[in-house]
Amino acid sequence: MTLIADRLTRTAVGFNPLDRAVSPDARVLRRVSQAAAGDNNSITIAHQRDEVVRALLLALGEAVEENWDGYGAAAVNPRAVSLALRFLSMLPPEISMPEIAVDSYGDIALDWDYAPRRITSVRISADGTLYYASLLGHSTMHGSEVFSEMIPRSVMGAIKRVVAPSYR
Amino acid sequence: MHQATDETDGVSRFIFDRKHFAPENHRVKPRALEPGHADNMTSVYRTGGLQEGDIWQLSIAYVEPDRGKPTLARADLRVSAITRLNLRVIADNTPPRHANIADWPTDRSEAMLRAIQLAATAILVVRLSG
Repeated sequence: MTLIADRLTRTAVGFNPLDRAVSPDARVLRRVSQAAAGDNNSITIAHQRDEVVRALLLALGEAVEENWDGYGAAAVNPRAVSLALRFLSMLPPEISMPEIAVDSYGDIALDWDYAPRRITSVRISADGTLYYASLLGHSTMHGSEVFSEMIPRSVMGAIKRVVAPSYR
Repeated sequence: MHQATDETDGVSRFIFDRKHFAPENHRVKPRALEPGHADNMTSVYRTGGLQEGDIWQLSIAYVEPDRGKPTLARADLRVSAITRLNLRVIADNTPPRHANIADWPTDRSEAMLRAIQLAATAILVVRLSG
């Protein structure tokens, strides 16, 4: 797994030793690399980029094949990875980095998880849909939005309410 | 014949992914409880009346062979907490003591929220190594 993660990271930052590889893992890595490269221009927080890419791609390491969770999960979708990179690059600097993982749909899960009742989860789907759910005390929010030019206000509101300074 | 479980019963969700729990603050992460992509249900085992060793043995005998990984922890849930969220526990006893948390909302964001709320009621039990 460490080897896969290392390959993923090096691939994402531009070094691609896998062009002739034919394994399922390698094909996924190549698609992830190509998808990520397509969005490089939109990544504006340069000093965080490698760290973000590394965290994101480490999360993918165990999800490159169907049924990676033993419960029928879909393999991670490279398009969702690309969109997640773009989403993370658009976060304001005062927003801390979320926990990054892959969910059973093969989408990217971003969790701002500070306590059992102080959590917002966002899922980035390959078709550009953002699903979000948030619990703060007994106050709940959930919904879905289309991710296009910017992070939708409702999604940003769900994130900001759990990372607000008054709750730190 | 499928049967519902008793409100006073307890169920356990076995956990195999290190990202699905946080032992430092005794937390089960919501993603550990979310329904499967394929069937929109969460697989659990009814554990009422069982000793600790017997509970882990359920995972060793029936779950680990499919997962191909060792069980790291489990989330213990009260059936009453599940039904309060308008979810349902349906026992099929295949394998023995197996059940599913069913009736998850088809709206994905609402299902995510239910999993967050359910995780807030869960008790984390980490499996001791060795």
